[in-house]
Amino acid sequence: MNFFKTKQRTPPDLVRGLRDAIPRLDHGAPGGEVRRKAAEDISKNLQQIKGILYGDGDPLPELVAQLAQETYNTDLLHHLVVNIARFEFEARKDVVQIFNNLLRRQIGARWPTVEYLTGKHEVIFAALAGYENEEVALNTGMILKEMLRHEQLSKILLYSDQFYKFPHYIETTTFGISCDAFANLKETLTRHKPMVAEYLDKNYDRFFSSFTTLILSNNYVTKRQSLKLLGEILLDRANFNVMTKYIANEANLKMMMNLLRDKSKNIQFEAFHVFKVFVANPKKPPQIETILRRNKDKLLAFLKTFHNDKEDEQFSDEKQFLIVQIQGL
Amino acid sequence: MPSQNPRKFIGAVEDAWELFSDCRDDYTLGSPIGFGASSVVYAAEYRSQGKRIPCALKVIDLDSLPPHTLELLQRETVLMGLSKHPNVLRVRGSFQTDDHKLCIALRLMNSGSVADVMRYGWAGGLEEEVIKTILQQALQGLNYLHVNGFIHRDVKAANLLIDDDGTVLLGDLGVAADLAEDTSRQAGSQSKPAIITAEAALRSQRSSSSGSGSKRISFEAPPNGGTRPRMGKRKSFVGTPCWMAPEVIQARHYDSAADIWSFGITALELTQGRPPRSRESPQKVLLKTIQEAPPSLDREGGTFKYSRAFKEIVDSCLVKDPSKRPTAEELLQSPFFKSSKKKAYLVGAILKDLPPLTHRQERRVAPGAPKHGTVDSWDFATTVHSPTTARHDETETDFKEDDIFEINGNLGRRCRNISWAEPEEEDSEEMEPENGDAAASSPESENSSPRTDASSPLMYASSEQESSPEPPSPMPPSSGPLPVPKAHKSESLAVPASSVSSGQLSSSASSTRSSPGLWRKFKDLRRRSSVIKPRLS
Repeated sequence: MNFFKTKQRTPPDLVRGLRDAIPRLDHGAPGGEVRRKAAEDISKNLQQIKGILYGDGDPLPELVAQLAQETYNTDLLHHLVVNIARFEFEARKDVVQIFNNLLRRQIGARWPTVEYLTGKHEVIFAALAGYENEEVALNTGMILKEMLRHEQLSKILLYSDQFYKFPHYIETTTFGISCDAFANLKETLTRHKPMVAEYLDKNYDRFFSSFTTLILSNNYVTKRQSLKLLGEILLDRANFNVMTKYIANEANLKMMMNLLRDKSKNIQFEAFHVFKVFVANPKKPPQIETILRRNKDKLLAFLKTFHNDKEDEQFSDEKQFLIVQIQGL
Repeated sequence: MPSQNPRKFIGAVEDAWELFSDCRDDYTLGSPIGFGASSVVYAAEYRSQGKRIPCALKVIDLDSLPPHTLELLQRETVLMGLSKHPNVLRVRGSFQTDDHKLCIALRLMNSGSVADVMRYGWAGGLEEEVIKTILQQALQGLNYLHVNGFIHRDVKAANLLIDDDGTVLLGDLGVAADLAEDTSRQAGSQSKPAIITAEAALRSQRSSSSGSGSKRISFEAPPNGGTRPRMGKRKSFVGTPCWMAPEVIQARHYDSAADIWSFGITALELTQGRPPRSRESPQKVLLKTIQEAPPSLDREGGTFKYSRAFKEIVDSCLVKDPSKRPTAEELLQSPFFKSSKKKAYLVGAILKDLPPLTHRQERRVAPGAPKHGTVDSWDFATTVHSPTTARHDETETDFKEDDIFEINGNLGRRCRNISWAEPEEEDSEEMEPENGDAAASSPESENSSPRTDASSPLMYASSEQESSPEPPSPMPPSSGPLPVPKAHKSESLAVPASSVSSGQLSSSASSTRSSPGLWRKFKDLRRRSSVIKPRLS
C-alpha cells in the first residue's frame, strides 16, 4: 500500500488534514454525511502518516523529521489521545502505532518526542484518563505504557494527583482493562527504581494507604497482583528505607498474617513472601516481635503444614528459616 | 453499547456479532463442551431484552493459574479486545465471580476446532477444496492480525475454530504477541544478557522426559542487553513444536513470517490428519526442523490427491529463510486461494453430519464435571481447590483477630537505623531479570533465571490437546488431563478451551518458582537471610 506513488501529500498537509477533520466529527447530524466523511478523512490521514513512519521497512528520515516537527507544532499528539474515542475502531490502533513510533524516535542520544512531552503533562494525563472509557482503554493503555518507559514521563505521572486514580481504574473496569491498568501501575512503580524509591520514601503514607486498598480488594486478581507487587517493591534493594518502614508497622503485619490464611492458595503464597520479611528482620521493633511471639505456637504449627506440596527447594528453605526464627523468639 | 449501532468502517469489517454484557446474571449455563487444565467451556445462553442468544462461556479458575499464565491470559484478553474481524475470535463479554473464576463469553463455535472435526470424521486428512476453504479464512484472520502488528504464534488446526455455517475463526491468542512491544531492555539497565538458544532448550527438554512431539513450549529468551530496540521482531520461544518455525526454535528474531511457517505446517496437518513429525519427541522435532529439509506435501500418498498448485503454496510457506516466505496478503492474492469456495461449502462437505459439540463431549464429562444449571447454581466444587486451603480452615492455627491485635503500639522506636543488609555490594552479580515491561518481560525473565535453566525452561501444556504420545493412534491423540476415551478429544470447541489455560497451567509446576517476581524475591531473601543469620548467632 504505497500511497505516494499516486499522490504525494507532505507531512504538514497530512497533519493539518487530520487536525481539521477532528472538529468536523461533530458537525451535521449524527450519523450524517459530514461526520462520516470526517471519520473517513481521519482514518485516511492516519494511515498515510503511518505510511511515512513505517515506510516499507525503511522510512525516509527527512519526511519523518518533518512529520514529527509538525506534530509538535500543532499539539497533534494531545488531540489524538483526547479524541481517540471518536475515531473508528481500526483508526484507534493507528493512533497507537503513530504515537508510539514517534515516542521511540531517537536522534543520537536525544529522544525528541520525550522531550516534547516532558513539557506537555496533559498528554500523559489524557492517556491515563483513557481508562475511563472501556472502548479505548486498551489503546490509550498502550500509549501510556510506552510513555512510562521514560523516566521523565513516568516521574510526571508518579508525582501527580492523577496517579492516585489508578486504584479506581483497576477496581471499576472489566478484567482485561483492569489488568492493563494494573500493569501500568506496576510499570510506574518498578521500572525506574531510584526515582520511585525516592518518591515512596517521601510519600510513604499517602502511597501505602492507597495501595492497601488494592491489597484488600474484593477482586481476586487485583488482590493477588497487588500483593505480589508489594512483595516486589519491598524486596527491591532500592526501596530499603521503605521496606524498613513497612515492616515496622504492626497493622501491616496483621494484614499479612490474615492473608496467609486467605482461601486462595496463591494469595497465601504471595502473602508469605511479604510476611517472611517481617520475620527475617534481625532488629524487629518490639510491636512486631510481640505479635509474633504471642502467636508463636500457632505460627509454628501453621508454617509446618503451609504449602508442603510445593516442590520448591528455595521456598522450603525459606520456610524452614522462618520456623527457626520464630522458634527463637 | 456503541457497537450496537453498526456503522460501516473502512478497513474494518462489519461485526455481525454483537457484544454481550459483562453482567453475570445475563448468562445461563449449559453443558460443558470443552475442558482444559484450568478451564471448562460451557455452552451457554445470553439473555438480553427478551432475546436468547447461544454463546460459549469459558470459565477459568484464576487461582489455579501461576503468575506467568495469568499474564498470558491478560495478554490474550487485550489482543482479543483489540481485534475485530470475522475470522478472529472475539471476547463478547467477561465477568468475574466471587470465587476467583473468570468467565469469558465467546461466540459459540458449534463445530469445534478443525482438529476436532478431523479427529471425528476425517482422521486421514481432508480434501483439497475443503482445506482451501478453511485456510483461506484462516489467512484472512491472520492477515488482519499481521497488518495490526500482532503475531499469533500458535497457528494450528486445533486453533482454527469452525462454526455451523462454515465460518473459520482464529482462536487462542494466548501466546500471541504484539510486535510493537519493545522486546529489548532499556539502555542503561544492568541486566545481564541471557541468550538461550535452541540447544539449551533441547538440552533441558531431554531431562523433562516427556515424549510427544506436540506439546506446547513457551520459553522466552531475552534479547541482548544494550542493543537498540528492535522493532517488529521478537525472540520468544513460544509455540507448539511441530508447528514451530526454524527461526523461532533458534531464538532468532522473528516476525509474522513465523506464523506463515506454522500455517504451512497446518496445511500439511489438514492433508494428513496430523502435522509432520508428530510422532517424534519434541526435541527431535525441534532439531529436525532446524537440520532437515522442510517437510513437503505428499500429493499422492494420502487419502486424497492434491494439486501441484497446492504443493507449491505449501512449499512457499515452508522455506527456512523467513524473508522468502509470502505474507498472508500475498497468499490471499494467489490464484490458489482466490479460487477458494465460499464458507458455506464447508457445511455440506464436512459439517452436516457432525453430531453437536455437546454430544461429542458427553462421555468426557465423566469425572465429576458440573451438571447443567443456571448461573445461580454454579458450583465449582469439582475444580481443583487446594487441599491446603481446606486444611487451613480446619486447623486450630486460626489467628483470632484478638490474638493479633493485642499489642501496645509501641512505635517509639523507628527502624530507620536498621541496616541488616548491605544492598550495594552484590549488585553487579545480581542480574535482575528484565524489569518493568509487565506484559512482555515476564516470560523472558522467567527463563533467564539460571535456576530454571537447569530444571525446566520449557513449559509444557500438560493438557494440550495432543499432548500424549500415542504412536498407534493415526492422529495427534488428544489426551487431556482427564481420563478420556480417545475419540472424544479434550479441547474441541468454540474456544481455545484448553489452550490458553492449559498451556499455561502446564507450566505451573515450575513456574511458581520461576516467575520473575518470586524468583527475585527468593534471591533477595536468600541473600538477606545469609546476611542476617551470622548476626543472629
